[in-house]
Formats: sequence, structure tokens, C-alpha cells
Amino acid sequence: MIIEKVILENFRQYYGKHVIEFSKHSIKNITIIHGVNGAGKTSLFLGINWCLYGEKIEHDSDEEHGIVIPGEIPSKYLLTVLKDGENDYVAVEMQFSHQGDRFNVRREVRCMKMDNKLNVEYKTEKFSLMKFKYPSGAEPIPNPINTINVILPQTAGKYFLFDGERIDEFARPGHEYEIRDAIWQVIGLEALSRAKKHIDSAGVRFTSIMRGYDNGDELQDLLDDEKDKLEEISLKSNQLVSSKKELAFAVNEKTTIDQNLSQYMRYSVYIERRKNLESDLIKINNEEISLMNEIRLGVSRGVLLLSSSIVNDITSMLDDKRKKGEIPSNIKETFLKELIERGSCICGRNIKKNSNEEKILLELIKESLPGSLEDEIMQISIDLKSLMPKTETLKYEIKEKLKKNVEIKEKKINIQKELDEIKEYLLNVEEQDVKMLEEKRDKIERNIIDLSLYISRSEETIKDLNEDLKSIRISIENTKSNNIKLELAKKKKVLAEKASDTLFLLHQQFAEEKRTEIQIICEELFQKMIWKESQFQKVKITSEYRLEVVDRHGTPARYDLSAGERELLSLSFIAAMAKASGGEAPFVIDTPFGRISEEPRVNIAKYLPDMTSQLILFVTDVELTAESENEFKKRMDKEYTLVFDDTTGITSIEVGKHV
Amino acid sequence: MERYDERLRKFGVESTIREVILEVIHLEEENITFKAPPRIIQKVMDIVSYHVEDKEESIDSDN
Repeated sequence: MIIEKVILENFRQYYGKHVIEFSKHSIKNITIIHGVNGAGKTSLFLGINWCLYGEKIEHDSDEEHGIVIPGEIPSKYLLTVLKDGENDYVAVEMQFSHQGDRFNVRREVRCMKMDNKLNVEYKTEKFSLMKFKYPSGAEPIPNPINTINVILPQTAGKYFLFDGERIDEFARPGHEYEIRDAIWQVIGLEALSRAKKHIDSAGVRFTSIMRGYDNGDELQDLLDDEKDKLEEISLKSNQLVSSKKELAFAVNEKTTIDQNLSQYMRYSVYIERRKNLESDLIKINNEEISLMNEIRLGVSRGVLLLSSSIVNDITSMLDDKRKKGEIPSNIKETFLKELIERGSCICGRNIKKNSNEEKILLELIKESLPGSLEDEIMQISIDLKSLMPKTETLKYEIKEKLKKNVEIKEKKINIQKELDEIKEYLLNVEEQDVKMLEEKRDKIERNIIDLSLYISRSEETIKDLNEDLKSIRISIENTKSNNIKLELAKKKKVLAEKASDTLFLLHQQFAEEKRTEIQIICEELFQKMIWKESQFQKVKITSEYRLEVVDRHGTPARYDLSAGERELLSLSFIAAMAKASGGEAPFVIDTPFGRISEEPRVNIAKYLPDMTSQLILFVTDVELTAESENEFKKRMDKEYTLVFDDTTGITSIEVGKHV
Repeated sequence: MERYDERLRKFGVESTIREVILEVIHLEEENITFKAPPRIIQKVMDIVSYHVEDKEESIDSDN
């Protein structure tokens, strides 16, 4: 980011519109802004931070009690110009370039004067980012906050837009995490760190998904079940086939016995009779089945029978209402229309066009319900009434069928009785052959019954087994599908783990390389800028991210550094980070030279501009001595002075140095 | 991103892992202000899933 221009509108002591342009030159990259204490240097500096990040202006803080007193944003001069209830806006706008593109960012908010106070209406705050389109025009950036944080992350920004009074923080003991975080954020390792963290979380979720699909040995158990079921079905089917063969054989045998028995002329009558009875029995059984089906069908329409009393009630109610004229029949409307068309009443009275008689008839027609509704109500009544005879018919039919069913059952009983009598007779005849044949026949018949029952049961069993098999196969498919999903989830988990491990190595390598690189640059710069270069042998950033200085005796000397030396060390570190990051980032420093003596100031002027693409310094009237100022001016392209008007409390920005 | 790509190739990291890493880093860089980690984690899962399923599909089509 190279800041090209800042525009302040009613921001703190900058009442009205104030524009300041910064150096964009690659060599003469310094802009100096002079101002005595209270002139507005810090306000300008805060304005840049507020514009980019919306950072609340801190007026004061009581760290012990954790209190931050918010500072003012709007210019107090607005209290003079605004009336109670009036409002105006406060804005800071910046134009900057980044990687070949030019942008404009603006933050504004409304404030209202009320009871001699200025209230900032934060809900009116607007933040916008525009990108210039060559050769003319601009397009709004849809996600301005994110884009600004990509260009110059807020977390990293604080290392390049910083308050000189806090500049020595890095060099103080106990700030190792800050140094580590600074390196990671500026170098972009923060993104790697978050990436690893989120990939690890993704891996945990994949593991959880795996658990949901893990069926253990369920598939094998199901396959075993399937095999067992198939074997069972096969066995039962084979048994069924055998039984059917046996049944067919038994039926044949019975027929043969009947044929043999019919040879005995003495008993042929009984044999013939039995044959006919058995034939009748088959017919009657079929008749019984058919009859039962008809009865069931009739009963299923029994809702008519059940609702007959309700139907009676409804039709009575509709008739009653019609009689009382509450549901006028369509006949009324048709009848009235006919009278009008005829031109005379049924009593003989004339009904002329536009006469009173016609008007009365037309009124009566209006009072009747819409024809279609009358028709529908009439139809309902007719349909319901037509159901009643059908209901009676159905009742009668079912009764008759039930009666017939009873007759059939009686017939069956009689036939069976006669068959038993014939059997008893033949079992007790004198002729042994006949007796033996009959005994054999009886046995076969009982066998036929047993076989028939067994066959029927087996068929049902096989049917159930096939249903079970179907269920097992569905479960197998589902389990296989889950297994596929489980395998996929496993692969995803493995990929996430590998990516995480690789990221860890990448992060470590980059962090280590950059730590070393920053250390080298920091040491080089510190030794250039410090006035006692022979006192300090090395600058180290340890693997635990401690910023350390080693003195000429080879011992750690950080605790021995003065406040000014700590500032130089911190400045060297920040400059080294900027250089190592390789990206564009402006150095905006507010009162950087408070505790630094002359020689280091001159050295800073010599070497710091090379560490950054843009250096913006806010200095008091006494911070720059002649020598350091001369050194800065070699690389300076723009210079301003903030002039504070004590009468109005307004600061103006004037080109050049006027202190 | 190029520096990461270069380094990963230098490490000899398998292309699928490399692509996943680069896509996730890109996601993180584009979503600095993303305050809802569960949504980021879901997007990371989608990236990983895509690469696994895409690989499976190409194996299936080869077979």
C-alpha cells in the first residue's frame, strides 16, 4: 500500500475539508509533517487508522482498572456552527495504490448537536472502498473490510502505522509473543497457522463422520445371514417339491384303490356314490369360496348401511329448509323468468315491460340464490335420497348370501357325514380284500390331508423366508453403501492429516527462514543506526522469538538498553520485518524521535527510508535537529506543517515547514 | 501464494496435497475477517472432499 492522499472532513481539530498528499516517489519517499504539541499530528495519524480500520479513538486509559476513555471524532468547532438538533458528517478519505491498482477508501459518520454536545450516530457509519478503472471510472468493492485486510491486515497494520511513544515495546522483556505474532502476521504465516488449525478441525469432523458409517462386522454378519437364508429356502423348496411329488403319488394311489374297489360289484354302488359325493364336495367348496368373496365385497360397501341414519337426517333437514323457503329451489327463479317472458301471470294479469309487475318479479328473482347453488343443493338432496333404495338392496343381497352360506355349510356337513358312513361300512365288510383296500385308502386320505397342510405351510414359510432374504439384501446394499462412504471419509481424513503435517513443516520452514532473515536485517540496521555500534556484537531473534542483543562481551544486554536504544532496536526490528515481507507497506510513525539522541536520528534518516516504500513522519518542532533534518531532506519529497489556530481551535495543513 | 507453491514442489509434495494446501491458504487469505470458524471449516472440508471424490471418479473412469 502506498498512501497517496488523505482528506479529512470535520475530523477532530480539522474542521472543514483538509487535503494532504504524500510522497509516492521510489527514491524520495519521505513525507514530513511538522507540528508543535497539540497541533494535530496524532489526530492525523489516528484519522488514517480510523479510516482504514474504524479503530476507536482512545483518549485515555486506566489500565489498572481496565477503563478506556473514548476520544472525540468530530471537530468541536461544529458546536459553534451547528444549532441544537442539526447534524453534519465526519469523514476521512484516503487514496492509495497497491500492486498497480489505485483505490479510494472512505469512512464517514454523522454527528448531531444536542444540549451543547456532539453525539456520534455510529449506526450511520459508512465504509466504502472503490477501485479505479483505467482510463476513467471506478467500481465499488463488494467486501471492503476484507479487501482492506488483505491489502494491509489490521493485525499487521499496527506494526507499520504506529505511535512512536510505544515504539520500544518489542524490545521490552516479556513481549516474545508479540514478536512472534508480528512476524507471523506481517510475513503472512498467520494464514498458514489458521489453515492448519482449520484443516485439523476438518480432520476431526471426518473422523466423526467415519464413526457414523462404521458398521464393524455387520456386513459379514449380513452375508452370513444371507447364505443361511438361501440354504434354508433351498432346503424348504426341495422338501416342498418332494412333498408335492408325494401328494401327487398319494392322489394317484387313492384313484387306483378306488378303481380296484369298483371291481367288487357288490360294493360298486357305494364306490360310485362316494365318487359323486366327493365331486359334489369339491363343487360346494368352490361355491363357498366364491360366495364368501361376494359377501366380503358387499360388506366393504357397508358404509352405506352404516350411514343410512345420517343420510336420512340430512335429507330431512334439507327438505325442511326448502319447505320454509330458506333454500329456495331453482324452480322459483325459472318460474318467475317464464312469467316475465310470457308477459302474463298464471292468474291472467298482464306483465308489461318496465311495469310495476315486472319490477316486482325482477326483485323476487334477485332475492333467490344463484342458480348454480340452488341446483347443487337440490342435487345433493336427490343423490342422498337415491342412495336409500340402493342401501336396502345391498342389505337384502347380503342377507340372502349369508343364508345361502349357511345352506352350503349344512350340505357340506351332510356330504361329509355320508362319506364317513360309506367309509365305516367298507371298513367293516366281511371281505378282507375290500376291508384292506379301504383301510389303505383311509390311510392315504389322511396322508393327503397332512401333506396338503404341510405343503401350504411350507409355501407360506418359503414366502416369509423370501421376504426375510429381501430385507437382508437391502441391508447388505445399505451396509455396502455405508462402507463405501466410510472408505471415502477415511481417505478424506488421511488427506486432511497429510495436508496438516505438510502445512506444519511449511510453516516451520518459513517461520525459521524469515526469523533468520529478519534477524540479519535487524542486526545490520541496528548496528548502522546505533551510536555505540562497538558495544553491541549481535542482535538475535531466538527460536522462542525473544529479541536479544548481545554485547561486546558476548552476554545478553537487552536489560541494559536505554529507552532510546530500545526504540532503535524496535525500529530496526519493524523495518526488518517490512523488508523481509517483500510487500508494500507504508511506515507511518508518530513522533518517533522522542527519546533518541542526535547521532542515531541521523542514522535513522540515512537508513530507514531504504527499508520501506513510503515513510511518513510526524515530528514536533524539536524532534529534528538540523543535521538529521538535512539527512531526511535528501530523501524527502513532501513537507507540511500543521498550524493550530488557538482562537478557533482549528488546525490547517500548510505546505512546507513553518515551525 | 507462489512462494508456497514453489516450496511445496521443492518438498516433492504430492499434487493433491499441494492443491488442497494452496486452496485452503487462499481461502484463509481471502477471509481474514471471517468470524465464523464453522463456516470456514465446512469450506475446508469441501475442498478436501472435492479432491478425494474427484480422484475416485478419475480412477473409476480409468477402470
